[in-house]
Parts: sequence; structure tokens; C-alpha cells
Amino acid sequence: MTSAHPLRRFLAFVIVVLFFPVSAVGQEILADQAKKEGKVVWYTAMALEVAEKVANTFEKTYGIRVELTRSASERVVARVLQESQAGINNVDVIEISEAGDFTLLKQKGLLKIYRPRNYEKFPSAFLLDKEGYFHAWRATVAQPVYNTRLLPANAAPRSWKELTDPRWKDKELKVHYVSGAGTNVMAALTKIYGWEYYQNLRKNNPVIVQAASQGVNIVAAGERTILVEGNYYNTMRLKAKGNPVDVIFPTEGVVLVLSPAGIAQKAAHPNAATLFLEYMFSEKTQQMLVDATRLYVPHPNAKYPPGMSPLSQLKTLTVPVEELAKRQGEIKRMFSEIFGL
Amino acid sequence: MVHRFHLDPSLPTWIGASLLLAALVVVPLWWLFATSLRGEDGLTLLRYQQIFTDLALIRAIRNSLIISFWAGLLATSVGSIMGWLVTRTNMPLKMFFRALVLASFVTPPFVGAFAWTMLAGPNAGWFNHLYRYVTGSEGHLVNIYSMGGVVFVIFLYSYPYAFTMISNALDLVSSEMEEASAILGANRLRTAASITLPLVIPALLSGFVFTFVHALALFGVPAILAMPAGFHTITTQIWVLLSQAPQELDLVAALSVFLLSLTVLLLSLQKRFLGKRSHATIMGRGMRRSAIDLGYWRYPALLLCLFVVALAVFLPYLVLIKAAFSKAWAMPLTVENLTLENWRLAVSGYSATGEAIFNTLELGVLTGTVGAGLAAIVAYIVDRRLFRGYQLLAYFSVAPTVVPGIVLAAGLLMAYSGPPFFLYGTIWILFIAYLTKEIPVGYTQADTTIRGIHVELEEAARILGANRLLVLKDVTLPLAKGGILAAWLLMFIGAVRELSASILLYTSRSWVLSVLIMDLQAHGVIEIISVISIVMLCLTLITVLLMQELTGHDIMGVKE
Repeated sequence: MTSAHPLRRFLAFVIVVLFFPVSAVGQEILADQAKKEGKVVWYTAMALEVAEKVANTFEKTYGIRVELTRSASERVVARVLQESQAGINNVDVIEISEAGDFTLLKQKGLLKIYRPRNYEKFPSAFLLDKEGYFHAWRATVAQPVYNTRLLPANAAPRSWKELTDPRWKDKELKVHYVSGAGTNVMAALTKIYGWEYYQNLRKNNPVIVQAASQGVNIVAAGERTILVEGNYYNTMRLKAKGNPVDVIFPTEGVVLVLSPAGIAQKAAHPNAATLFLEYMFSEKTQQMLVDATRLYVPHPNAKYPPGMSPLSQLKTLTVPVEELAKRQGEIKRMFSEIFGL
Repeated sequence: MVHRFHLDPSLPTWIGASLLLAALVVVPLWWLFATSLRGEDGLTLLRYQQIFTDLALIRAIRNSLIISFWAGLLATSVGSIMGWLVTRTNMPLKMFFRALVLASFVTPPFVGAFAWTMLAGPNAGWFNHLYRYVTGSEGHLVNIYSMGGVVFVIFLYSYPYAFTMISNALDLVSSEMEEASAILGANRLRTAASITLPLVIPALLSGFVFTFVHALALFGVPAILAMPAGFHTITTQIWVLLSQAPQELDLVAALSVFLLSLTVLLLSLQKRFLGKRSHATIMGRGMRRSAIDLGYWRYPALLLCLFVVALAVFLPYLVLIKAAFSKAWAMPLTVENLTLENWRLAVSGYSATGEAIFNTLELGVLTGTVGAGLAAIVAYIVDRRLFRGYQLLAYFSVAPTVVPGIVLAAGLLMAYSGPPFFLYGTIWILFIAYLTKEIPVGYTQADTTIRGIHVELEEAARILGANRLLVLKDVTLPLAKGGILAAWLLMFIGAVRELSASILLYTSRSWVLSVLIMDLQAHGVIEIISVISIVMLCLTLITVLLMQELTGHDIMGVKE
């Protein structure tokens, strides 16, 4: 549509690449180029409400439209792969909650190297790829969530282990492996308890949901009492709105779920994509994520509100990204075998 | 007198329409067959072998068959009893029931399933709340997330098919034999059981097969109710195989071919039942007929009918409306809980909503317009026997009936997402799917209409020198206007509520309402989904009313 002279585009590109990470001028040129591209297409696994907020703020700041598609992590990846096979270059920015899947995208050559400003100051847990193809721009902790009206705090389970207790029969929800939270927690817990843990959980007849955010909503409505793989940020969001939900900090530790973001190799709006990522990793956006949604972020200057313990003070069970990538097949197979889906 | 140099535009039109129709049906199915046999080197039957050895797939197939059997049985029995009560007896208020059955008919099953999660979810569902309140028990009365729940919801939205088939058949049964039986002293129920029932058995069997096949092809209901309960049907299994990385296209193709073969087999059986219909005692209309007096049984009968429509229409609509105006759907309806925020959020908060409404309407109008046009031309060719092989066209026009939406979509995905046709990622692939799916409905309607128009008028115009195309435009179409309009509206409704094909074909560039509902369902934003469901229901109901107003007949009168 925009038919800028190829040479001019090339020059602009060179300028952007050379100067952008260090200079404000670079930022301006990038914003100009991005505006010419008109929009950025973002596939995300983030709770829709939060994603809309991030997108709207970007639209207001830069006047560039964000086209947003939200799905469970696994489905986002399936969609990206399917579209690339069909020769469709729709997506610009990919962002999911399953670091293992990003390894697959990288191997298929679908990602472009991008390094956010100040990334060398990020906590190492967030720097997922040494070559710079993807970095976590947000993280949450996965932990059980319960309905405070149906279950008084002192009766709530205190560990992951207790969730397999027959006391919770017909009262639980479990997240499918298509969700990042589902995969991360299964990877972490099977390391401690083996698949036997899930075989026991199965006996409690958990209802299977596609995403942690869906699960938290169902617990909030009282349809089920406990969500096995809930997450902190969705629960806090609903709790703040007056819903009877709260999180449990299990004795084994919470599971850190990192959500990487990256730019598609064949992005149709490469400058807008870069600008969008720059915006995602900026101090302002990162602080907004903390304040509005209680997510953990990599930005070194982010301030956490009272009541939200910094990551360093939490007991976390973290599965390294290489291990996640390696165990994906096993997790899918065992989940299907145990839960029938 | 013959203008040799003046090319008659009729022939290219006939040929063009025929080729388009053939391509619509053949291309996706060809791709499915080809993909299902594709091996590492050369052809292979490995995928088919996998279907019958992979435990998960066998389980999905078994679940599909069980669900379809019970849903079909329930829908046929209840649908035909209601059909008999409404057409043949003196049950009170029976005229209202035609409209109410119509309302169940036009409610998309996945919207019904969604509403039922609020009515009969084991813990927060209305029924279970009530049950716990009344009995003081801690358990639950019903759990919609179960095999029984899936069967029940499918039944609620497929009994209208059986209702229509039985009503149509009963209209044709002469009442003389029933009267003879009454004269010989048999009571009414005995007459119904020993005279009427045997006469409509072919219609019953064919109603069963039809609802069975309908249940087999559904995606939304099992996606909402079966997957959370931890089991798959064939359709949800196909969807999952396509929506995880890496995709298993070959296996999906084989599974689709299997599902297709199953439907073809069943519907050819149905055809055989219908073939036997020409019973000497089933005669034309216009028979003098007195309504059967039910006596005291009138009231239980009325109660049964009310019960069914309450479950299918009143309660689901009520719970949707309540949720759409509540802050939290499971909370009591108090002033603090009332809000219009959901409506604002649905429209402005989610960027996809506006796009989805626009695309849905655009696709509905396009499908209606192109579809009704194509159906009219094809029906004209077939009815006027314009060239040899016209029977083949008639066959192609009804062939999509046997192709489940998800199977069609899988074929289209394989056919049009690579060179030379890059349609995936645009709304055009959805358009092709909707057009193909709706052609049988449009064709049947157009065929009935065009058959009813006398050839003499057309011949007169031809003698006066008009070519066939001109005749079609100036003579036939004006006469067929009502019927073609009905075809347009039917296809529009079909396109607006389509889900099982759309779910595989949509992208973020081509949202439609049905997919948006399924997508939001996975986030649990129940109040917003209720708003969008209501929008969709209104869209459908308004179209139906418009159609009845314009054409003066009921859309269910259209025979399958």
C-alpha cells in the first residue's frame, strides 16, 4: 500500500538498526516508519482485558492500531505455524506464556532477533534466549486459587499435594496443556511427584478448562471451589473487582510462568512491531502491568505495591526453557492419557 | 432470422454456474481424500489404520456414536409426539407451539449449550442452586458437563427437525382409516398407536437418521460441554488435532473422510426409508379432518409441550438476558448487581466485536445473494432440463447435506491455503464454506418454486425472441420472487449461525460472531458472551420474522 522508494526504505532501515537502541532520534524515526505501516498485529495469550488495555494505550500514544488476537498459548503457536505454512504473514508480534513453544518457533526460523533497551539489566530469569530471539516481558506465578465464599481461608489446602485429597472430589478445575500455566505447572510438579500426582488428581474429576483466566472466572462464579493451576495476576484482578477469590501459596512453592515476546521473521509491519516491543518493555508499560494487573516484569526500575512480594522472596519452582521444550511431547501425551483429552 | 454473430449469453451462464457448483463440492473433498492417503513416499492407508487402533480416536468415535444415538432417539420421540399433538389433536394453545418450536429451531445449539452451563452447571447452575435450597443437600441434581448433558442439549435444538418431518407426514395421512378405526370401537390412543403410528414409521425412521447425522456433525455443543468433562467427539478431536503444534493434517483428513463416509451411509439409508413412503393410504392434502379429542389428556399434553419449549427457549433466553445485565451472573438480580457495562464492554472493550458483527452480516448477505442466485439458476437448469447431465447438477446441489461443516472446512483449509489460491486468512474462504453448506437449502427452496411455474409463459417469451437468460430474468424470476426471497433468508440465517466450519477457517482478519462467542468462552467472560449471544439471536429472529412477513410461510415448512 505505502510505496516508499526501496532505497529510502532501506536507508531508514539502516538508520533504525544502527541508531535506534541508543538514541531518541532513532525512536522518533522508528515511530514515523511505524506510523506509515499503519498497524501492528499482535497474537497474545494474555487475559483479554489486560491485553486490550496494553493495546489501547499503545494506540493512544502512537496513533497506530493494534490488531489483537487472543488464544491459549498452544493455539497461538499452532496458528502461527499454520499461517506460515500457508504463506500468510499476518502476525507481527507473538507473545505467549509457554517459553518451550518459542524454542520451536525459533527453530523453524519464524522469529527475528530483537533486544529491548537495558535488557542487560534484566533479571536473568527473564532472558530466555541467549541469541536474543525472545525475552520474557512479563511473568506471573501459577498457584492454586479458591473461592473464599465456599471455602474459609483456614480450610483451604496448603500444598499442591493436598489437592489430590478426595475431599476435593467434584470441586476442582484443571487447566489443559494448551495453556502456558497448565504446561508449566505439570512440568514442575511431575519433577517432584511424578505423573502419579496427576493420576490421583484425575480421581477428583476435575473439570478441564482451556485457560487459567477462564478457570479463575469459573471459581469466582462459584461453579467450582478450587482451580489447580490458577495464576496470581488474574486472581488479583478479579479479587480487586470484588469477586470472592484468593490465591494459595503452596508449601512446595509457586511455579514461575514466563511469557516471552518476539517479532515474526516475516512481519508485514516490522517497524510497528519493533516499536510495539519497545513499548512493551518500556518502564512505563512495565510499571502499568505491575500496578494494574499485578504481573511481575523484568524492568529493573519496576516498583511492586505493598502486599505483592518481590520474586526474590517467593519460593519458586521454575522449569528451565530447554527442559520445557524437551518435555512438551511427554506432557501432551501423558495429559491426554490421564485426562482423556 | 438467426443472428449467427450474436452470441447467446445463456449458455456461458449455464456452464459457468454448473462448473462453480461442481467446484464448490468437489475441490475440498478431493483434497481431503488426497491428503488422507498422502504418505512419506506414495500412497498409504496408515492414517486409516491409526483411526481404528489409536485408543483416543476410537474413544472419540464411540462417544460421537453414543451421543448421536441418544440425541437422535430423544429428539425423534419428543419431536414426533409434539408434532402429532400440534397437528392432530385438540391440545389447548397449540397454535403457539409452531412459533415456539420455530424459536428452538433457530437458536444456535452452541448458544443453547452456553446458556445451559449457567442453568445446570453442577455448582453455580440455577437448577442445582434450587435443588440445594429445597433439599438442603450439598450435592448437585444435574451436571451439564457430562455425556448426558451433551445429549440433552443436542436434543433440545434438534427435536424441531423431527417435529417438522412428522407434521409434514401427518398432513398427508388421510384420516379415513383413523375414522374407520374409531367406528370399529377403538379408543383414540389405540387408533393412534395401531393406525397412525405404522403409517408414519418411515417418517420416524428418517427423522431419527436425520437428527443422528445432525448430532454427529455438531461442534459447539461438545466443545462447550464435553471437553471440560474430559472427553472428545469426532468433531472436537478434529479441531484439537488442527489447533495444536504441529498440526496433524493427514490424520485430520482421514478422520474427516471417515466421518463423511458415516454420514453418507446413514443418509442413503434414510433415502431408502423415504423411498418406501408411497403408501397407498398416504394421500394428498385437503382431506376433511377432525382434531382428535384428547379428553383429560389435553392438559398433561400441554404440560409436556410447555416443558420442552421452556427448556429449549424460555429458560436459556432468560438466563442469557439476566447475565447480560448483571455484574456477576451467578449473583442474585439486585439493583447493585444490575449494569449496562457489559454492553459497553462488548461493543467498545473488545476490538473484535465490531469486526465480527460486520463480517457476519457481510457474509450473510453475500451467501444469501450469491447462493440464492446460483440456486435459482441451477434449479432452473434442472427443472427445464436444459442440457444432458442435469441430474448430476441436482445431485451436486444436495450433496453438501452429507458433508459435516468441520469436514468441509478441513477440506477447504487444505485446498485454499496454498498456491494457487491463497484464500485462508480472508473472509472469502468463509464465504466459500457458507455458500457450499447452504446451497442444498437454497436449491430445495428454489426447486420447489420453479417447479410451480408453468413453462407456457416462458415459451411465449421465447417465441417472441427472448433468449433463455432474458426469459429467466423477466418472466421466471418475477414469478418466483417469493420463493427466491425465502431461499435468500434461509441461507442468510444459516450463514449467521455457522460455527463448525468457521472455527477452522477464521483468522484475526476474519472474525465472525459464532467464533467470537466460542473464543470468549475460553476466557470465561460469561456476561460479555451473553450480550453477544443476544445480539446474534436477535439478528436471527428478526430475519425469521421478516421472512414470515414477506413470504407468508414458515421456514420449517421447507422440507429437508
